[in-house]
Amino acid sequence: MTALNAGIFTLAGVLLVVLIALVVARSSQPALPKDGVIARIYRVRFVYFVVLGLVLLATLALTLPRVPYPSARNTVTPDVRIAVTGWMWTWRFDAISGDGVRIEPQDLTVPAGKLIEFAVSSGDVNHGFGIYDDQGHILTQVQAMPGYTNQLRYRFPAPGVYHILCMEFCGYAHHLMTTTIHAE
Amino acid sequence: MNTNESVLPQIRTQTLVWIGTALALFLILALLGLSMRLNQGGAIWATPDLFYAVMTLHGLGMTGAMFMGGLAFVWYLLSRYIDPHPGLMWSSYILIVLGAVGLVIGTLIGRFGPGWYVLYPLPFVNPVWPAWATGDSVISLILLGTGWLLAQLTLLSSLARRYGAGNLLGWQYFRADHPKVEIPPIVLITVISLIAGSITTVFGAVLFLLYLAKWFNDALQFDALLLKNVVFLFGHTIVNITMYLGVAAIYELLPKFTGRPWKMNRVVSISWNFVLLFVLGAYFHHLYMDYAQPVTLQYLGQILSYGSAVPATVVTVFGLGAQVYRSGVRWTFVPLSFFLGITGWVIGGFAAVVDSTIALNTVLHNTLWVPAHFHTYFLLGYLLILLGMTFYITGSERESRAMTALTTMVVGGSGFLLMFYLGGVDGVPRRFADYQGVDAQALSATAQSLAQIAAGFIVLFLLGFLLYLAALGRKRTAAA
Repeated sequence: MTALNAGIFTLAGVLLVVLIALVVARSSQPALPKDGVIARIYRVRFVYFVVLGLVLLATLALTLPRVPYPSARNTVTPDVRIAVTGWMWTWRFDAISGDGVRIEPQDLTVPAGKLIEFAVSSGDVNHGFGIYDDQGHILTQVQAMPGYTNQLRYRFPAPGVYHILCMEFCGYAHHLMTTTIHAE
Repeated sequence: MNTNESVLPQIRTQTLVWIGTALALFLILALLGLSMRLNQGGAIWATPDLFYAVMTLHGLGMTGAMFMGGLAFVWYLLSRYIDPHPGLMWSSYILIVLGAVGLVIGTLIGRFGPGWYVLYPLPFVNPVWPAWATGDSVISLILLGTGWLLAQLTLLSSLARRYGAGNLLGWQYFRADHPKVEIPPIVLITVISLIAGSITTVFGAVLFLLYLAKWFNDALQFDALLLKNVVFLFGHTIVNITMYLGVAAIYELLPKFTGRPWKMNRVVSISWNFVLLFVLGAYFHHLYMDYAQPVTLQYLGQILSYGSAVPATVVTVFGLGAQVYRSGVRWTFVPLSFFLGITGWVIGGFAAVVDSTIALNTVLHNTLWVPAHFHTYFLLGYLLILLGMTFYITGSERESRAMTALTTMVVGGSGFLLMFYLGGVDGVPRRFADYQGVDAQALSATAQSLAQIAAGFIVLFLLGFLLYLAALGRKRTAAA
């Protein structure tokens, strides 16, 4: 699921809401006694309640299986495991297992197309490990919390340059806490 | 039709002091918000410590100012039913003002800048601000929380004296549409809001007392995940109940313009009792990207967030429709601002439900989508209700000027919000002092452009707001 999906869906929803608001606002005239009107509105409301309930349940059923949490994953073993630690204001990588990983100051190289598991934590305050492609599209993210390790799994789709931005406000140089991942 | 006559003059004076303070704070904080977007757009340059201190004050200040306004206008409308002790309400006001002044000092002078949510352990790790600023700000937040809690409990206790505590949640309506003790909808909604608010304000107070203890003794260590849960339980609730106070005012006042009563019944009672459950549990959606959070709570977060859409739309929005449809209502400033406020609330809610979907949250969390949805709730939702209430309470009559102001604010506000939504779709991270250090050039350029355009729309909005202020008050007659 992408942010563009969310944007398109929201735009459709907003247009629908605005249209309904215009219709309702204009419906104030001509005035009619409330008794017959209220009964009609309550009938529409009941239908809306049922439809809304079904839509919400269907959306829950479609989306809840797609959560990124470790307990919800299948038992596929990642090809590469890398420890990531956020510090004010830099990222540190340490290879845990797997081939094709190269770590240099401020740069990480990983194999493209392989399942990478990032074990993300923080050495000081909360940070956010956000992965972007070179065009600036956000691909995925996870929080880095001191005292905890969050396991983010990601498969870099193609060779190229990817950018890490900090997604959790962490102080003075939060906006400069970036690094680069090369997928080969 | 202005039916303010039944409200005691001293209540009117006191609530207008509260509301006036809230609106003055809003203007100042909105200007600070403008400076933030200008900085992000590269039009001005502030050092990061100043930017983040301004960001902290803007977030905390707006939350507090808007909540303060809501408490005041609900109190005004409830004054026909209850008589809260004026001394307690003045005490609350003084505590709030002291806290606000302290916070201004801590942020703008001390440069205390951990963000509105002061997420542990950020206030205490390598801060670029002096230690006194942390202590000052934490104590100020304690004063604010105490003031808010005092006001909430004063209103709740007055309502309990009037209706009996056992009747306040409207459970008597589960069995009959006309029980022995009837309560108007504004009472139920206010009670639901203030019960949730009181409970979570206590959690907030505990958090800040822990911070105060750590300020004295830095060796104290707390669990980051636990405290993140606490701060979002507090913060999520206070902003949502602020919106509900606006909704409560509409239930009470809109009937005066439509000529139709908005009654309590079983459906309204059940619906708002569910709101109490949803508002306390939905905060889990702020921790979706913390995989360490128990997974059950993550699922609950999405379920309860989705659930909150049901009472909001099925009961309140349809209730609004029942008020308006073929009612003959004249769209003067007050009813129109109420109607637009609810529309803004629904739009913000739609975006919120999208973001509360875990699978989408992976690409929306902490992007500009987040400020997009809550600024929609507040700027083109709740604020319009507050402005409508203020126009009503002051007995204002400059309809034409107010309508021009409203149009200007809606256009300016919509453009400002659109830039946030586009930023969210583009994955622009939030809470960046500037975007010049972002290596992905396309993202950097987009983020700066959106910020520049947003700043223009904020100026338009603020011009509308100033015109609105000029529309307040009664016209002078020739004789006067």
